[in-house]
Amino acid sequence: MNKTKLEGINNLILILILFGIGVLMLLPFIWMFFTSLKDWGEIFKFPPTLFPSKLRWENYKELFQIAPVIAWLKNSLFLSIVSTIGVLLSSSIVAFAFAMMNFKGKGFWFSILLLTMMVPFHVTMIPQYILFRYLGWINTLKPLWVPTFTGAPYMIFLLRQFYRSVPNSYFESARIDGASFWQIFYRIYVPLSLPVTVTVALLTFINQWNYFLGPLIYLNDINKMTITAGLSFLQGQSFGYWNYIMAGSTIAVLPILLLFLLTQKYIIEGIMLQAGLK
Amino acid sequence: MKKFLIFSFLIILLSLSALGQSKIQITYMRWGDIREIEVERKIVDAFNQSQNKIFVNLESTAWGAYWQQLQNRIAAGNAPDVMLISGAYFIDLASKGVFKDITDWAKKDINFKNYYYNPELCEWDGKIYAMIRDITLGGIMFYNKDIFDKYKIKYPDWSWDWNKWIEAAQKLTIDENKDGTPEIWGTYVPTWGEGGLYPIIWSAGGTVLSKDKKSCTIYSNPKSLEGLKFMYELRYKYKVCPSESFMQGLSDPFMTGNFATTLGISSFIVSYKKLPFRWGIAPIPSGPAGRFMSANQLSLAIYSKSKYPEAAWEFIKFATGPKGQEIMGKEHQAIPALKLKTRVYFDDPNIKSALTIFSLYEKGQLKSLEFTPSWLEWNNMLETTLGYAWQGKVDIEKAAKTAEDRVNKILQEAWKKLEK
Amino acid sequence: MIKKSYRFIENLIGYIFLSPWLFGLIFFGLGPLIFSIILCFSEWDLISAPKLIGFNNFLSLLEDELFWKSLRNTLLFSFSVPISTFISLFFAYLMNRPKSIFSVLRSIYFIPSVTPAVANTVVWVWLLHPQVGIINYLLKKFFSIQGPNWLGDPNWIIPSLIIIAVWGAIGYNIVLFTAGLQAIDPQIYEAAEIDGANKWQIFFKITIPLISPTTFFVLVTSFIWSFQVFDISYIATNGRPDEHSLTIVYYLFQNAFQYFKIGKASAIAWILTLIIGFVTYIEFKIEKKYVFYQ
Repeated sequence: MNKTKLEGINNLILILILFGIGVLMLLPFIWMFFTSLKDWGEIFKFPPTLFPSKLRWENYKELFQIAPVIAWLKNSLFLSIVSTIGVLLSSSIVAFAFAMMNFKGKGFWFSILLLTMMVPFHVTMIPQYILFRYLGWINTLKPLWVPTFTGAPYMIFLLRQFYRSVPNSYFESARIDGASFWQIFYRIYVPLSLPVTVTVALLTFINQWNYFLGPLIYLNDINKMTITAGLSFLQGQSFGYWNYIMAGSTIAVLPILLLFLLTQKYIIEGIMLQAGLK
Repeated sequence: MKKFLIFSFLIILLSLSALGQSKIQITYMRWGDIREIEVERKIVDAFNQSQNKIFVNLESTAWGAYWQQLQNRIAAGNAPDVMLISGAYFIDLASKGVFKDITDWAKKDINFKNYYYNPELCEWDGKIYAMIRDITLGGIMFYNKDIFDKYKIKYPDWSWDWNKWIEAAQKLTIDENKDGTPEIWGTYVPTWGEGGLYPIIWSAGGTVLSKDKKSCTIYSNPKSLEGLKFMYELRYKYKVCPSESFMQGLSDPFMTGNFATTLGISSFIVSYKKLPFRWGIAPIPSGPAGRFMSANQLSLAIYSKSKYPEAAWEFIKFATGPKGQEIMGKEHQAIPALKLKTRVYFDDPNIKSALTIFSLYEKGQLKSLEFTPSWLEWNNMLETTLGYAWQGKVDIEKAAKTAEDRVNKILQEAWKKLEK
Repeated sequence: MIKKSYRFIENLIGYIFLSPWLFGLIFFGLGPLIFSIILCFSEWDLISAPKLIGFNNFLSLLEDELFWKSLRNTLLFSFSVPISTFISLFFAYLMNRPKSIFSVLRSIYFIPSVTPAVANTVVWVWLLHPQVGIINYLLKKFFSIQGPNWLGDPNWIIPSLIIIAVWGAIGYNIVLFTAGLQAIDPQIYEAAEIDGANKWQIFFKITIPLISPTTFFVLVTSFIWSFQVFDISYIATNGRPDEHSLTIVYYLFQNAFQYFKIGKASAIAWILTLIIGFVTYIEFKIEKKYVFYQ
């Protein structure tokens, strides 16, 4: 066998193994989807079955009848889009400062940045609630998106790593040419870090989409909830409407998956751009 | 000039009448799933339409986040005027002054004899802080009629005691393919308080706490230990109930259709309605000391810093009065605590038999869950420590002794704090 | 003179770039942080002002069995971090090829990060069920081993949670590593191949150093996350974690919102923060030696 054929078989084996493990990754989604199509009595069968005996698509129709799903989706969309913009704009600027600039106290402030990630949010929840009450933001979505315009520590850290991994030569030659910090940031670093910028946007969108505790604490009107928070209302004190919860969860997951598939394209295309710029 | 005077006079007249008609706005918060909130909205709407001085805004959040949101709001000073409270949190919140003292109003306006009234959920330190709203029965026996019919065993009824229970359960624990794991189990007794643990201990003649509620007695009281032993033996001696390790992932065993009988709470009734098999309700089998079940309740309280406590009290009177309770029962949201309306909930022939269980109330055999300050903390500790016995890792006496010691530690600290 | 004003301008511009975050910190973050530190030393019933009680909260934690046990559980659980980081890097490297089928694979692996935690955990509870779970079934059939009671046995609960966590993190980390791998200039690889390096040499001598900023990021943030894990143990034990599966943030949550011991909860939170801070500090010291920025 020649070399390419051997490589081809190696590739195939690799792909097969990876797909095999991939089934394990898909299991929760498959379970979620099929549970959403099950009849009420079938969901609790023991031992559990994966496939429903018949597909009960009415579960979806009934979900829309009993819950304000469309309102929830609208709220989720608004919140996720605005947060993504907020986080991207603010975090990239702050990350650039931490990565490429030298200013007094940089190490100190970076430690504080990390510190904010390390404090469990449960203890700052109450004082933050008091603050938001003082601002009159309770029962609105503001506590959930306004702070995103001040940067997300996790994303700032991520972008800092990427800016630092860009070869220093770009930075130095631009400085020698007399470019200002803003020009270097805007003209060089932003285009070069397209893969990670798209990643930050994607992850921020997903994080905000899946974040349900915030809405449940700050809002007390079921119609203002986001889709993931709203689905908690299908779980009572003693039992949950699992078929509707899973139907709602399936609906909630699909936009994210779509977004992920689309951005994969840009993360790859970003390299072409990057190679071209160089 | 004349026109102007008439005009301004009309304006003043209009504003005055608007002032007279401006309603007092109060907020009422509860947790719930979508159905429960929908019914609550009906109750609130009925109140708002029944008079025009007070307008109630219904607020809600999911059960999982209710207590967090409530505590945030108490800390921020914007707690709702009326709040739904459960026994687990009542004493802790009342002792901290979160609720308004409504002793005078309640004594004047409420005839407690008309209610299945549990002082533990409404009174603290000699004062009344909340009004009873609905009742949840615990220790109910749900039985799978299809299984009983298939193996020709008589349904559970008021004649059942522990012996009859074991006997029927043994006949209904069936391992057809002989692989060591039964396909059908005779019974399941929950290891958490309301559903099984407390009613069994009581039915054995024991108590979870001492009479003054300052210490735990599940080990030191031999009768309590008898109750625990019974639960242990169902699993490991008679083998009619699976070990807790087997129960992983099984959130509600009765719904699997594989259990002939289970003990549970009345809140399950709503979810059992759509089960694909026939089922019925019976009281808990009678233990050595008789038949004891739990009656947990929810109550409505007024925020101590509410600006309109009188308006809040008007709403509470409505919600716990005949009109509010009727809506609650008819829509099967909760079992009304107002005796007159309790039967409205049980209109379905499947569950009508549960009404007979209420006869236990007069005999004092529908007990509350021995609430104390820090109840959740010691109850969690009790359940998880006993859990090792239910999983078969430790024998029941050892688990009970360890649990009692740990619970005592928490109780002592809780009572000490209040004495300060 | 010129040097001084240059310095000053760089400082000024630096702070201007930093300002969105600084503003957020001062406005939204500082108050709550300071308040929570005060709470460490107080008792608060929510309705009146917090009452200072000195170090009592910390002293009571010293004797609190459950605190130490949950701390131990959390520390053991954090072993999931190096495991998931390096498995993810390996998979990301394998999948870092232009063919679109690898995009599909990456999307499949990412799915656990978007399915709700309850779905992920419920599926694993079933997979790991001692009697009807498929893992024990396969172990018996192919290896004749009686599988353990994964979630019920105190010795196996943490490893089970680690398995679930690693499984869930792989797809997410792959996304981060892929972005990092894609940012490596392909010319470097070409040059190495021309120089005659083989696949392993390229991986260890070129890829690993060049991806180290991402690896560092994943390790640091994963540790921070693993110390704060909350919902996995909650869902896997049906809302009733015992002393073998209780994690420290869950214990903190119980104290804050179920037991009305918010002062104690704050003390736990800050002890945890100090521990995480210490670990992170060590990681940054290591960064100087092992992380390679171009």
